Amino acid sequence: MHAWTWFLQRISAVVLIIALGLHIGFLHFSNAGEPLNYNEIVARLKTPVLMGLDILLLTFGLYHALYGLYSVFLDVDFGKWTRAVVLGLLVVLGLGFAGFGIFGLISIGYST
Amino acid sequence: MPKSNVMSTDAFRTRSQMWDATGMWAWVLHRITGLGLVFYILLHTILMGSSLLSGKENFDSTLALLMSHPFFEFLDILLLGSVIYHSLNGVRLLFFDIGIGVRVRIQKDLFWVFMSVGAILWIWSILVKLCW
Amino acid sequence: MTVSSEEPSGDFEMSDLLHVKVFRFNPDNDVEPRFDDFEVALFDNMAVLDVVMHIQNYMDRSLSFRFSCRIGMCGSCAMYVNGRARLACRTQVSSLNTRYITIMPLPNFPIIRDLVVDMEPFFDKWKKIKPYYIPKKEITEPVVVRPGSGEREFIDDMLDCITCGCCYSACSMVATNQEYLGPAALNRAYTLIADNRDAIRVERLKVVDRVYGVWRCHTQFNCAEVCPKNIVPTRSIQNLKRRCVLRKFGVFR
Repeated sequence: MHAWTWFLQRISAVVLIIALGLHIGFLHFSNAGEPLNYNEIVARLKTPVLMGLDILLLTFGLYHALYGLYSVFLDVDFGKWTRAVVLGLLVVLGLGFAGFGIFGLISIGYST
Repeated sequence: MPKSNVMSTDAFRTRSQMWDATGMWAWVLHRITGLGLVFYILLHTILMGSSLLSGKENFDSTLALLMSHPFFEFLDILLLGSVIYHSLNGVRLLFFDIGIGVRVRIQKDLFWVFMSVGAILWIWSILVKLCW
Repeated sequence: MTVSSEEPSGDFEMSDLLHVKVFRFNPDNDVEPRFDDFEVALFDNMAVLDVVMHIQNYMDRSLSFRFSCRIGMCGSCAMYVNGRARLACRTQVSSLNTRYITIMPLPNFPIIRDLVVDMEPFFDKWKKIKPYYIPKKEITEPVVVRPGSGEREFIDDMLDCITCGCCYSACSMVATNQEYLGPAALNRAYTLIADNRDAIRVERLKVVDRVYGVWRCHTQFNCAEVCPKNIVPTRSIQNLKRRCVLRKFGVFR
């Protein structure tokens, strides 16, 4: 399992570098100085590319973050069952946040 | 771990401390920024998600506060610094994964090159931010 | 075979006396460790091993430490000197650039007495990866490796390991995780996994592909910094990680 998860961590790193760069570029450098505006965000999310970007960022970001947390945890030698429980918690956390995030993005993107 | 065949004690054993090792400090900072960013991504998802879902007025007022208050500006600068550090050191790690620079001397040089680029990026973005 | 020796630095003042603090602990008698102070006369090309031998011969017969070959080949005299794991016989006092020397037993190891540590945990992990070549049944010895093939280049450098334990001492992951195989074992595993003649390469790869195997290495390079043989276990471990992933894709190189 660990070879796959480690490899996916590296893939998500590359995806994040690109996606995060784009995200910050779009959000923070497109209208300099003014606070983010609800209407602008809705407009942005209506375009499939930018909606896709945000979903990509969310899912890969959560994976990278939670695998990183897991890695920190594994650097101390806890037993098999403790590891399984923590892994389970992280998976649930990840799915939960991803679910909430995607739900939020899609609701806003398809709102009138 | 099987029991040792000799009489030895774990008491008073020290842990490795290489305070002068660049690679180790690079990792320590990578971990610290990583933990900070994990906390941030979870917070960001909840905050943005719930603000957006609670409607236009709520969202706009929350964002106006977040993007103007000096304390949050300061946190934003720290966030940016963390992202820059973690990404650039991360690129250095990706180099190691494809086999580039996995040598005692080169990995240090790589680190400082990336940190220089990172410092420039960070300072530039702080200036941009302050000039708005 | 490369042998590391720390060159004496040009502007080190050849003063008469070294002020040496040595970690002392005898579990039979002592409740807790202490540092003993000694003043040792410096002579030309003095190594840290000379320092402890002088102390043992002329000042305190009860000081315990390991040594054997005194020429950097056996790996017995590894100690923690002025903040780094080093071979005492291969560390010139002048290279430390100070008259104040602190000598402690290797970190990350249980202590037997004074500067002598218990190498069992280290060798347990060493054994786990089956650190010996097993020939494939279908080949006839001697195996011919063409000189120009470059097959042995990388492996041969990494074979110089004298199991001194310096890398194991320096590794932060060994410090926090008692089950982690450690740089020496993983490095040796690599030399055999990369060896086309070996029969159990895949089996070995499975051993290192475990949660407390290669995946706990975060490329800090502490191991490579202290290795007296200039081995870079990090390189071996990175290659192992690649092989583990490639095996999952069905490509075993």
